[in-house]
Amino acid sequence: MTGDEIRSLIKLASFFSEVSERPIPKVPVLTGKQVVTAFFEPSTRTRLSFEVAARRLSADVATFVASTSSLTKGESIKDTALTLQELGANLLIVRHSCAGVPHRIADWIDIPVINAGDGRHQHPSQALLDCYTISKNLNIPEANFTGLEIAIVGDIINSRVARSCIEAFSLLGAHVTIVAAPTLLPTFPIFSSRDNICITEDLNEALERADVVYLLRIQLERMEKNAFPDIREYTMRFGLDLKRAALMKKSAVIMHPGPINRDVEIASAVADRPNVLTGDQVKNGIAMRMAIIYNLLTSKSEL
Amino acid sequence: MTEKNKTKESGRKILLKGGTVFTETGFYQKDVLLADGVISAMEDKTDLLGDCEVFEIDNCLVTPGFVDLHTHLRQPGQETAETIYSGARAAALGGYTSVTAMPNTDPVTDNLSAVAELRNLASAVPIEINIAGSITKGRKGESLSPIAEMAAAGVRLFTDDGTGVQDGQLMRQALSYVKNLNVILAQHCEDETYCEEACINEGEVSAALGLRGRPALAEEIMVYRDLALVRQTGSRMHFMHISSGKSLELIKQAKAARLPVTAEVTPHHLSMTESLLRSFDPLYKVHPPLRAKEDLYLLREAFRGDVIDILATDHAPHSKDKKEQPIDSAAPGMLGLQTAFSAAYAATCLNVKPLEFGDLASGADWTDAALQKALAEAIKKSSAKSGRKNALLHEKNGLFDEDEILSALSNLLYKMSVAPAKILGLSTQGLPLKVMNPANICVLDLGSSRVLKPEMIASLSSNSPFIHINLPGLVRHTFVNGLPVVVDQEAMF
Repeated sequence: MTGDEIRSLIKLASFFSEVSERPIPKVPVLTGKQVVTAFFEPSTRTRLSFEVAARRLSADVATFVASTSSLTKGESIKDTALTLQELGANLLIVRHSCAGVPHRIADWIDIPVINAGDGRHQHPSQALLDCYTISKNLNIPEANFTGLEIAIVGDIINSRVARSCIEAFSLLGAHVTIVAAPTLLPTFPIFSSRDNICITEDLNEALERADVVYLLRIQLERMEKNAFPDIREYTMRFGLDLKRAALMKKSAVIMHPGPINRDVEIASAVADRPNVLTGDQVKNGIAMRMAIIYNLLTSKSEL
Repeated sequence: MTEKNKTKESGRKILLKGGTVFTETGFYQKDVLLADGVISAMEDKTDLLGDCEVFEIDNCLVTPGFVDLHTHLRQPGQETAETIYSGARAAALGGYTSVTAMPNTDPVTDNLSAVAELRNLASAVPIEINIAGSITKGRKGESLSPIAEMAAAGVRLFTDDGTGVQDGQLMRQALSYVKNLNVILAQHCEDETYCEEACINEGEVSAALGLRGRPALAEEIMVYRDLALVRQTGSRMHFMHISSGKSLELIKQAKAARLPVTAEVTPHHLSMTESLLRSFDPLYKVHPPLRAKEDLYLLREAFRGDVIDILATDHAPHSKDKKEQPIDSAAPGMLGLQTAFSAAYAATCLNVKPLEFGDLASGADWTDAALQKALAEAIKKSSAKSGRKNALLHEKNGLFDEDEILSALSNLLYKMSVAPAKILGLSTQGLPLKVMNPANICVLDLGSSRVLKPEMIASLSSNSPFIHINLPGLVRHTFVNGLPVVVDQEAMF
């Protein structure tokens, strides 16, 4: 994707935000279209967000639940994908615990596929809704992030959100500071070679400069052994507690892709402050996902 | 088995006419007569040989049949992926007259009766199938298999391939135990503690794709450990499918210190890089993984020199359902037997650029028609000069250094036939082309090329990374004990 493609989706999303404010938050643009969500990994918020978005566009929505499906009976992912296509799906929204599965499925079937998160690889719709949230809440015209300082804190190596967000934020012109211990960074320095990305272990210093503090969830389910000693030490070094929150600029905002581990990456008292945008992120997520789905089902352009 | 074949069709005489033979001293234009299972004559021009079948092989090269020390035939246990029969056909089509069946079958080949059963199955195919045994019982890495018992029955190679023996003290005991058994232990070098949940090379690609990487470090550390164990025990050891540049340094040092070690490289590590995994296609998933381009070039250099002793296929068939999986859970491995020569010819003689992600969409061309033609001519010219290699020194024809490419070709043919047979101590395979030597040979057409099509695959599996790629060099015919098993690229069994 290019920065301009992201900007045009943001424009579309802000239109759909208005739709969501209407008494009947629905537009009849995708009547008769069948959207299928296929989540091969447990998720509620992302799946719900996509499903609500599709319904607001008047599409029909079917849900494929991996744990009750024939996958548990040994069916291959390819056969499953082909079956879903044959069932008349016009769009498949896929999440999988392994990187690349949505890409592979897109190779096998003829309908568009949205990657709703693949392993430790990418979570594009999250990054797009975060770009939208930043431009809306910080009132940045044309989503030009030049001069904006964004700190991303936490488990970078295991985070698909981090990979997508770092790329999207820097495409829009922001300067990104990655805050993490070396064990939580990719083993190959894919980020350090870029001018508008820097890496540090000093959270305090990053907080003082940041306009946006983006906290990642510690994903114990994806974590390598001994990436850090324990949660206590992680929180001590990288948790956003009251003391650290005081270092932030007055105008700075805090974001988190959810679900939050309270008192781990963010102190409960900080999490409930008004400059925490998690609620906006969820709301904007619906609008952005409406934009993504609309874009894919009404034109041939690829996301 | 070989005796049976010989007597059954005794009296059959075959003349290979018009080709060039690859011998210990160089290339010669000679006709070759096969009779009674041996090379019965090699003459400049043979009108004399009378009553025999004639194979016209103008512009072709006769070489010792290839010998593979690293073949997964999947029988017993995964007969939908490959059988001894289907694997033997793939081997013969690739010019192989002898392969070595890896013991990571189900059940594992870790005892004498399993060996006997496999030999019985193998007796039904015309090429030689050597049975390898596992170092540890059930390949579990816990206790030694009855190695001496299997060795007494003629098993020469032992390995837990698929994985390496993780326990260093157990490996030390294994090396020490086999000291006087005249066998060779072969190791798949990857320390699994560095490879948890990992499926592709650790590097730029794994970082970008968010996949756990199997680091080159995992190989280097086990190579280092095993070299130390060889130094301590004095036993021989063979290092399988070396993939990392730093491992080569370690092996080079060990060889300089005269440790009794040998090493192999696969055609895929010589020809493909980790960038292919950007497709997320498990076709390119293999252990050890495809590495960075720098490693590939170091492997090519080591193959041309003395650090790498042989080419080995690591032919690893997998059925579709094992490969049409998410990349983290798909089975590792790719087919190798049918394409080994062409791939290694392209990589080490023609020096084609490695196959990378960007090449996939277009369908890659690995041929170099001009160079192939010039090479075929250089071989003829070389043989016209009575095979004296020195005569070619410093001769250049604009395209390439003739001496260099001829020595690259000699090196490749040697490391696919004579060298692996020597490591295994085979008595009738990989012998130089000489009168009275067993007629296990193949006939190569170096100037021609072909696009590998799915229907050409003899394996029961189709996980070849070379499908739709234009590959240089053909295996025209293969002969075992003087009888044709492949004629004009068609298997005769």
